[in-house]
Amino acid sequence: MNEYLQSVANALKDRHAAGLIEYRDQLSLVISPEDLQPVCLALRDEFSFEMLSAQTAVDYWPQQEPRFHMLYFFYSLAHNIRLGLRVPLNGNAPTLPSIEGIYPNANWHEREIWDMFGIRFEGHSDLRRILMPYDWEGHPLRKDYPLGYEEVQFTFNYDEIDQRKPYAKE
Amino acid sequence: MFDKTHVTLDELRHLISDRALEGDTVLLNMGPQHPSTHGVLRLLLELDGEAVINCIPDVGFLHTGVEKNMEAKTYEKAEVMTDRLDYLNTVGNTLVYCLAIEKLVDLDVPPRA
Repeated sequence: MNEYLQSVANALKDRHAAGLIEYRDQLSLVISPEDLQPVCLALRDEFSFEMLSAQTAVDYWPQQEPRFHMLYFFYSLAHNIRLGLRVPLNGNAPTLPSIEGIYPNANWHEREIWDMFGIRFEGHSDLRRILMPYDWEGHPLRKDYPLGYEEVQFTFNYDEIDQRKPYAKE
Repeated sequence: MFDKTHVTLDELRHLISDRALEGDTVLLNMGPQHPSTHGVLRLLLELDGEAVINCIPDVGFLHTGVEKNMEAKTYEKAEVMTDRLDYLNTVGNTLVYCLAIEKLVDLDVPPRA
């Protein structure tokens, strides 16, 4: 792995008790929501990660703790390296601080994540739905939000859905 | 389970300047065009004479929920959906998808494939 990236990861790990995940040569830090803004500030001002290249979320439903993971991907133009941040969030309607003040392009990313996952961002200047209509109910990318035509049969709800399926059962 | 999010006109009020409400500047809708045109979006423009002094973009017209559909499909079945994301760059989207899957399952694919 890149030496500079390793030193950044170790510095943040010591400062914020962050966890480290390395998967297929991609490095991610796991931090708590309270540490998010200090870590982002340090990444931008101290470690020259000038760019927030992507921000998204993952839903691990029906697991509740943590149910969501917020993901941030930073890119350093000066060193040509990338770093991921993971923030685990508990519960069905989590909130976490907005990083719009640190990386302005997080504005639209956070609007999309609010729209698709229903994660609220405190301190966001204009948290509206961005893709779905304003009167839409629910947040479509949540795992408990069914597809339009039929509820998806996963292993956890196989039997429940199988009962009401209209085919000959033995 | 889902909290209803209904946005009223008052909540959108902060997007528009006072000058526009007094008729000092003109609010002009640009688009959305027909759904088959590339990159449909609506722009709410605030004009002072000919100069555009503010622009409120409204996107999402081409959002069809491909990512939600792909959750319920196998890797092979989802691959054809990447072609439909953007019909001007089908190869690019499919290539990125295939590279991601190859990295995920740690496949070593020969270059000619």
